[in-house]
Amino acid sequence: MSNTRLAIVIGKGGVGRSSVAAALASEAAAAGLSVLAIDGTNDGGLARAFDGLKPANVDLAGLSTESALAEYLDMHLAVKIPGLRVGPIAKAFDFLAVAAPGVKEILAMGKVCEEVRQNKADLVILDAPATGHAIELLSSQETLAELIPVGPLTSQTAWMREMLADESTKAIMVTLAEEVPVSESLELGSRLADETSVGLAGVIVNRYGGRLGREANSEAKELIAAGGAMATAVQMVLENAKDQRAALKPLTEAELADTVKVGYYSDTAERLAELGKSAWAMV
Amino acid sequence: MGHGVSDKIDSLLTESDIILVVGPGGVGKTTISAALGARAALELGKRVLVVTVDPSRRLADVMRVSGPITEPVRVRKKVDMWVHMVDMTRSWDEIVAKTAPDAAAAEALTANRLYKTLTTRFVQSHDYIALDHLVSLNPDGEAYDLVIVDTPPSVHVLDILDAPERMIEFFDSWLLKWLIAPYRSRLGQLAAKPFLMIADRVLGGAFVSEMAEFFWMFSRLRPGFVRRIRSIEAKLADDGTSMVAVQTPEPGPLARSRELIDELERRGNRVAAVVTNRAVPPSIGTLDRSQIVSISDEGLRRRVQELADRSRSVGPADVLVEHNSRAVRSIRGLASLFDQPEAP
Repeated sequence: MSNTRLAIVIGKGGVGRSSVAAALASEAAAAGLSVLAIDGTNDGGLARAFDGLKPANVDLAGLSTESALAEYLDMHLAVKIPGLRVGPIAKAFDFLAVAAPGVKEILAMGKVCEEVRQNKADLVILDAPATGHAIELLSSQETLAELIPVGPLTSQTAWMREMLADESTKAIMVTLAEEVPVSESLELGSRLADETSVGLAGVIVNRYGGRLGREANSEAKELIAAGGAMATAVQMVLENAKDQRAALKPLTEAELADTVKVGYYSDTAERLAELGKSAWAMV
Repeated sequence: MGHGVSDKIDSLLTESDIILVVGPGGVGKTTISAALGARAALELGKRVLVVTVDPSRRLADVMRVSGPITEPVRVRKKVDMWVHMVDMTRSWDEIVAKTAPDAAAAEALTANRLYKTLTTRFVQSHDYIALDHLVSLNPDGEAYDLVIVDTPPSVHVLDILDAPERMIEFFDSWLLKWLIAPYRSRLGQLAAKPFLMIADRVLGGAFVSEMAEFFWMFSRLRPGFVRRIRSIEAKLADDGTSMVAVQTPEPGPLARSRELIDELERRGNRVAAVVTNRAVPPSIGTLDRSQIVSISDEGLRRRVQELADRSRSVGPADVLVEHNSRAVRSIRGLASLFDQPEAP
């Protein structure tokens, strides 16, 4: 494996981001690395994606932005503010989130980058929030610098931009071969390039059903000829395969990055293994 | 067409003035909204406006709304269906113009450096804006017979209904009061409020003053906003307003849809129709295990099994819309999505 320290999994909701993050974590752990997997969506999806198969040397963490604020204050304030307890931190947090959009994101991303900086794991994997929110997270330092060109938080977070721009930070995009996911992926790819400094290492097309093997095709023909409900079902499968191939075309033509198609697996172990292999090859 | 299920949709379209299309993300709300609009315009002779937030490129092409638009666009010359794509910035500009105490106040606010960032990224902007179109685009109910609102994806499916009230709550909140405070008094005089001191330390004094001035200007919109919001609420409460819930036959969306419908009913909102989009023809549900297991190719077998599972997993639903990539390429095709050739 290369020198990747931080892998960020991005994509629309419902395409299998968490599965890919979990799969990559498992594959890296199997290769002997210590891994920290961070759930950026905070809905428990990452833990569920492991489905009880999480390896021992993978640590799971959430991304609580309130505790990120408390830690930031602890680290950076020269003088401690008297009487600071949980209540005021929550209030401060709400205040900052509305007063300066982007602050929440920068505190969250700062925590992730801090984990990488502190070297406590060989590889940090971030299961990013869905679509646009991931961009907000990854461009948070740029957003802040535009809003507040000169300020304490701005200067203290400038180092994050360098880390994200470095080739040791890689993004992997996950999508489905369906119209809306593909169109959102194209937009996500553009925004990643335009608004952040993070490089896209690869695209994984999940649950791909665009090609049946030769044997499958000839069996399909027989089943359709036999008629009945089975014929309807098989016809739908072939229609769907055609739709998937058509849906994927714009993505292939855009040539965003190495693209790998992974089929549909109902068994979790198999699914994690296949996704893991593909993601591992990209980082 | 004369099928029971289409009649339900048709009577809903005939009786309603406003239809909100709700549901979890990714189920095809925008397509269903466009289909409802097409049916109302083509089959029922209604003058329809579909308010959409983010149509896919294909759908935008069908409705001929590619590119930036500033007002509703008619989809075809002889079809009484208009589509409006929500543009956040324009929408906020309009709202500020209508709710500000005077033109100078509106100008000062929209010219402020922080205006764009702060308005688009706070207080569930997307949800509020979608509903605001009910008062901005069809104020007296005269311009259109029916307005269909395609609701944007939200963190919680009911954010859209809560958005107007939350906006008022924000105007009355401790939060806004303290955001403004530094504009009125010097920071040092604001007797040890820890979070203000934190803001000062984290963001810097210059920025805190600047944003305080912005929020002070914003707070002056309150009376105008309250009037506007009461108007939205009146429309939502009206008898002519209906909700259509959209789901797909998968465990995640079905569960979230169930929660949504239950919650809406708890609040006294009736869901007039539940649409299962991308439904699998019911006949496929009759396939039994032995038939499926006898398929020798593993990939083919798995996919047929998946279809059979989806065919059987439909929850309580009034209307099934089958996946039909050909139909959605034309306005007429969209209108035909609710035709039901197969009895459930």
